[in-house]
Amino acid sequence: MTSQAPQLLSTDQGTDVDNGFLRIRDIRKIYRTRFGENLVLDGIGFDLRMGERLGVLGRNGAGKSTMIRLISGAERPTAGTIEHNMSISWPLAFGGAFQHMLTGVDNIRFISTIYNQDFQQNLAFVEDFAELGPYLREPVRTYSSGMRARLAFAISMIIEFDCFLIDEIGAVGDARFHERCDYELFGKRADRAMIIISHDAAYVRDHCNRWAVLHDGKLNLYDDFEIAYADFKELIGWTPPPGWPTVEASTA
Amino acid sequence: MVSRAPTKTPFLCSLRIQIRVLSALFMREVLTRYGRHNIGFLWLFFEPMIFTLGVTALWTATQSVHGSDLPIVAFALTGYSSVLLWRNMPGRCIGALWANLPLMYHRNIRVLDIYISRLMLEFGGATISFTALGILFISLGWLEPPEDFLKVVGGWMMIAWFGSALAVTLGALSHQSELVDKLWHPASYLIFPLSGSAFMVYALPPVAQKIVLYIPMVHGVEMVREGFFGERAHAIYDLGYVIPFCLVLSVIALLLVNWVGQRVVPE
Amino acid sequence: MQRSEALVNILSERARNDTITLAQRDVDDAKAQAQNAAVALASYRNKQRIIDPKEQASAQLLMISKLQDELIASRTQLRQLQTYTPRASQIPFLRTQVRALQSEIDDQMAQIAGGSQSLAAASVKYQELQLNADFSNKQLGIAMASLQEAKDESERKQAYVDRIASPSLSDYPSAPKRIRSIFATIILGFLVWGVLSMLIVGIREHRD
Repeated sequence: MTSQAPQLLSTDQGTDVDNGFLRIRDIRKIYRTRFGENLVLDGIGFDLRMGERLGVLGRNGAGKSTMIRLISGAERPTAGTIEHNMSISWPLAFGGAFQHMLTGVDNIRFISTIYNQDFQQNLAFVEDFAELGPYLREPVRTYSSGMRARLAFAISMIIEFDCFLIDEIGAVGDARFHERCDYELFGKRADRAMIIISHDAAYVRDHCNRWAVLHDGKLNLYDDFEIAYADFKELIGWTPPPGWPTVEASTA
Repeated sequence: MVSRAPTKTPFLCSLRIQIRVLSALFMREVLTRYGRHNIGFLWLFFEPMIFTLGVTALWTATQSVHGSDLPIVAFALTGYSSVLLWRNMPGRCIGALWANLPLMYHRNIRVLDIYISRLMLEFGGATISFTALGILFISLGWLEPPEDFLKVVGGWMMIAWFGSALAVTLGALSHQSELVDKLWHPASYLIFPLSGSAFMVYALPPVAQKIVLYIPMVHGVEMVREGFFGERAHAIYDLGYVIPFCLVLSVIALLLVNWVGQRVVPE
Repeated sequence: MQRSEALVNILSERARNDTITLAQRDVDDAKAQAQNAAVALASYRNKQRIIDPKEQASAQLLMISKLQDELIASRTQLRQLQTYTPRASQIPFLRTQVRALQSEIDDQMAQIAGGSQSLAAASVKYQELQLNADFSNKQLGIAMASLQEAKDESERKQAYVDRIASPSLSDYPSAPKRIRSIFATIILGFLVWGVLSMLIVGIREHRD
């Protein structure tokens, strides 16, 4: 519906190239399964500039993670173009992207080598941030999920990207950890571009300045969270049960 | 289907990135496979070495017939080391992608990199064990130094090339079908006696020779033996057959990798 | 055909010439040697004024034995006369004769053996020269024989090339298989190009 708006914006500020841009046009993604073709994304397009944080709402299996993987370059779209002159992170999530057989230190070394970063500096940062102590030298598979989340987030913060892709990052960890994560991401890195996926509508509302709803392979963009959220609820046919006032209440 | 950064990365830059990625993956492979404890990195060549020694001992003990007057130790060393080379490569690449799906989140880790890193490890391990055992046996006087060192290297590289192309092909196929994994193990055991490790082509009847020479690794093994023993080996091989064979297999392998690379879904 | 015959014959001619030249050289050497030996022998004969020391020695020995016979006869006669007729007028005559005979025998003996001018001494040198000459002669004979043999042999080596079956166009060329080679090269080229280009594309997928 409003997917034209950001494109118009991008042409208005097309001179803003030095600050970095991400331009996505008509992305289609089809997965071939044993039961035939599965169209996950059907013509998605938007632009993103530095300092913009796009929150994406969508039900489970709507293709949010797929979209993020495509943008990160880890996967290729079936059709469409993704152009950018920003460095883009890998999809930061609390789950994956490291080796469970290796120790935390080995994982840091691995990521540092892949992204051509200084290992010692990164190790110091992770030691400081993740507060894992001696566990950092144990295999990751011995970690609790909370420890994994801390390590994963710390590793994700090692490398400075222009655009961060964040997949359900608010899901794990205690309040203090959340606070520190929020500070790292939204305090220190407020000038970066971000695409944030979350089930937690409040999280998206609080930390983003643009929103989008992914439904049936289409992405609708909004500059107002309330409209986006209303559309989202309508699309997924969900009515808040009694005692679910959080989102509306806080914006009201 | 275009996904690109407007500023094109120069080729040399890309190459440098790939080398970086490969070295990181290689170290990671070493660590996950051999760990930091015990004799760790030594396992890299200790494992194949123990295999070769065992087979040598077995063959020596049973006085196996291998159809030539070459010393049994030399015969077992050249034969079994070659088997380790071409058999472990596919074994290591089959299912490699499934095990490494989390890594595919990183844009610069491509499917081929995962295979190449594993191939490097296998090639390194087999080569080091072959060299180490060769030097050991030569210093013990059980083995003459190779007559033509470069020919040994050539034959070895031939086997490695074939093994790599086969490994990448099977590895890529195994990502699409579990059948590959199930079939490879029995197949590798079936091919082993035919692979030229346990016989000299020269000692076979002409009809069998013709059939056996269709099997590509036979040529490599024969070449290694000719390099080692010279005229005495009566080696029969045809580079005009193996090189095109490996080229075709390489093309297939790379096409499959490309195909898988477009479909792989990181986990 | 003719050229090949010519070539074959040129080659065999050269080989023949080589063998004959070699044999001829051997013969020449042997001839020179034989000549030298003969000359050396002749000049020695001239110098020593002997023809054949052996013959001469035997002639002289014969003479010596005759002289000795005479000496013995004269001595016997002298002794008889001294015993039976000591005053015979022949005694001094016989004495002179015996002395003369004795000195003649000594002279002759000295000519045969002993002393640097004796026949025995000359015969050593003479025999050496004689042997040399014989040897040279024999060598010359051998060399002549082998030269003859080489000549005979080379005569036989003359080869003739003749056309047994006339050349004809082959039913199908077995080499070069041009089409085949071209195809093989093209296909191999494509394969190499395919592998390399895919590897390069693979490398290019790595971006900053």
